Amino acid sequence: MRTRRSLQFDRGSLRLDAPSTASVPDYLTWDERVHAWRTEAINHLRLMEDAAAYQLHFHDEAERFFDCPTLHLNLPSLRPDQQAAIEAWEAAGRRGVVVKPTGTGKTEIALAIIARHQASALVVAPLRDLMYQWQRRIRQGLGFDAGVLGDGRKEIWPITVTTYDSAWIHMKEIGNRFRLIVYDEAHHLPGVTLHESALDCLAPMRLGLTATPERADGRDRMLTELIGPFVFEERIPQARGTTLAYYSIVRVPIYLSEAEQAEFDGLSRRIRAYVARRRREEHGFDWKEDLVKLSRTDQEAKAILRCYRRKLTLVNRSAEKLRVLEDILRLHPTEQCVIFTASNRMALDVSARFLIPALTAHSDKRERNAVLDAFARGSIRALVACEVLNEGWDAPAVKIGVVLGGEKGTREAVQRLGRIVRKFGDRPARLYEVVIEETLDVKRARRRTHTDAYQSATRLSLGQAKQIDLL
Amino acid sequence: MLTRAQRVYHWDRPSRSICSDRLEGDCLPHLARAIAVYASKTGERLSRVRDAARAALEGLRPDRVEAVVKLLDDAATYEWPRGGEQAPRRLRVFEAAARRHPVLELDDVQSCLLAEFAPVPTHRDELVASLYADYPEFHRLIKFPADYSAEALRAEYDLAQAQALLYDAARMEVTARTGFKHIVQYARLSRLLHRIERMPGRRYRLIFDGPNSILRRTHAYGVDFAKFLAALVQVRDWEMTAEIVLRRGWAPLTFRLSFQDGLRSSVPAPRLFDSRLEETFARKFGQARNGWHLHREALLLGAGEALLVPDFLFVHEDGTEVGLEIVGYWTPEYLQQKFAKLARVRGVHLIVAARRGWALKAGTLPAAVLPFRTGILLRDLMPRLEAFRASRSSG
Repeated sequence: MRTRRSLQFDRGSLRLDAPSTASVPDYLTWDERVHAWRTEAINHLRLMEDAAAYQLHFHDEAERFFDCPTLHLNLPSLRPDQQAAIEAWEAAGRRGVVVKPTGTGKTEIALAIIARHQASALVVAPLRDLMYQWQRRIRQGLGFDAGVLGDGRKEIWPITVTTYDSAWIHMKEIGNRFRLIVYDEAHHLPGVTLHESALDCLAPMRLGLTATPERADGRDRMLTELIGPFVFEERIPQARGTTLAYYSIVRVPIYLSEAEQAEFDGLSRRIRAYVARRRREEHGFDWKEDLVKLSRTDQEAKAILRCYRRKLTLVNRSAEKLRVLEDILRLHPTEQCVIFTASNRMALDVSARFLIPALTAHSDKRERNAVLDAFARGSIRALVACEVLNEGWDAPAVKIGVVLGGEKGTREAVQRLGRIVRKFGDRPARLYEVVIEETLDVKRARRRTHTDAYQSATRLSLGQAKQIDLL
Repeated sequence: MLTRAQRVYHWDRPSRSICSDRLEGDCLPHLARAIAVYASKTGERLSRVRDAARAALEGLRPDRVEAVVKLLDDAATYEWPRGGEQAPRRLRVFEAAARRHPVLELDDVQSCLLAEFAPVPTHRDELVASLYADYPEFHRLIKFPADYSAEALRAEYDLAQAQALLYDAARMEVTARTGFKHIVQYARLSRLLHRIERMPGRRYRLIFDGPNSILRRTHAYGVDFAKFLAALVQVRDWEMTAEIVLRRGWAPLTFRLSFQDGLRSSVPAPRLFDSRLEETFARKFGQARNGWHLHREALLLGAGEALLVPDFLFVHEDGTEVGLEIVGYWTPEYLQQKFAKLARVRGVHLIVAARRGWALKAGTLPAAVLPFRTGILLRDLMPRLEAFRASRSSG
């Protein structure tokens, strides 16, 4: 009589209880510690397909998917581009990455897929705010209260939302409970450790959503292996004016105040003198790498690094930025506005100066939800955020954005722009970029212009913007 | 535990070895100054307490400062408006202000705040601190342990740095001669998988990692190793080696520690005996009797996927080894599991001492069963030990 063996999910891997002499596919490895075969959980579907060819007969105890809960659908009808994305994903075997600009309805695509396939689902988002936003969207669109895994909560329900960090930590325990896994802002997945959550999960249906799949480290190539092929691609220039609003970018150049400039120059002189001396002593002394390395053990280098950080603070928290923000708010007294800063302290400064809510990494979920709900109702006219609203957050009615600072490069800039360009009637969007001249702000602003999203935009000066508003 | 950003380590490229940072004795005055800052700054904001401590640590090597401050923060108690009231108060102010949006004049700001935050601070910095008093940087220090010493802080630092280095460990090997029950118990709590190898001199090598470790080099069990280390340092006579991979694609570096490094933790140290029954028996037997030498928890047995550490090991001068596992009175379920585990042990000489009532249930075990009523009698034990010698010489 043939023995019935079992396949189990064992903390992120699959464990096949079969003798070491059994003929098995080459992606299984013999595990002497437990006297069984082992492979990555992601190989589950493949193993099930290969089992017959290898005459492996086992009882599959690994797959313990939740049943899809009863859904009460309240989803908008899909646009042709969204419909095409879903069909492409299905045709690719229900695995793949959809690339669409921010604000073109990627969330609706994921919700429609959950509803069409009646699948238990784990949605992975990069930040806690986005996790809660997904929870709200699932409640509105599918009529189900999704569980939250992360931010101190551990609710593993048939539809659950989580963050990339929590997914990495907990996938070893929950990787066999969901038929569908959705990676929102999927470009985060190929991180050095974060990608392991995809390996530890046996979901046969995988969906990646992103506006900006490219990564500077080139690891975006891993998305095909971890999620599936790129099945649908739409870029900002194609979407502008159709699925996205028309938008313009207004560069507002300003200068540090006299006192700030004097301190800034003093710091610069001190740094330059130090670097020049070091370069005389050590050929090829690198300002970035060598100084940071040296500052770990050398008090003077540490002091110079502090000077550099103080310069950043002067740029990020300049009083002039608050003054020009006042002008911009005056220009749009009746419109809702979102303001982005580079530091938490600047966000709090703006909040206290104009009495508008600040959302930072320290804001807890209740406060974030209360503020975002008040903003959606219109009882809050503006809000200021440091990092937390850069990605995924939806407020289609908001058409005015102000960037007071940002250190995270072009992806952050494009994501921030994406917050205001969702099409909402025929209203155009406008992003103000406040840039302090003769500082590193200028370099950062120049880098942003190298992106598709910025190159497709109408560029205006503050004067031109004021004239247009007077018409 | 420290974050990756706070850890400090030293590596030696030629020997491919790495070690965690340890504070030298001359750091103690700096630590004492930082402790004095925390002790004197009650009522002050967290960010200011930290800045003052950083200033007090000016003489300490810069890369050590943040870890020390973190450990001091962990020891301190902070206070902030709780009960979730602060955020709704803020929101009420912001909603009131939205009706006059944009609020640009200072007088308007003051009047909007008056209802919720009277008296309204005039300085912007104080205004921010008042509005966001529940945010970490504005928490107030209310207590710091009076008996916290520089030496205690140094011990915590040394252990925390060793633990933090293990975050990047792909696997961990422990060689030990004693304390196996403690080691096995905490390895199980940390959910680590193991392999064991016996070494000369009644030493064992235990190799710990996780399920996925045979599939890929992963740091997924690094925190488990770190937690386990806090338990390991409480045992005597051990050595640990861990493979550290600081960056993907880099060659692994070897991190070595031993009980001679003198690390300490707050995990309870293993007790000498688990029960009075064991203690009485050990006293009665003495260190040696009739050529048999008694060792406590010195045998490590693989029982399927589990590990079993018999309470005692008898080693005869002729080399015969016999383990003794004492099964006291526990619940029936515990005994059932224990017997099932013992049944998987093969190829060793093992005596299972069980209370008389339970001994009958142990009848099918591959070991000599020694029934007892209240305590283990030497006159019952010695013939069983000798029987193993006899079978060894006849075999």
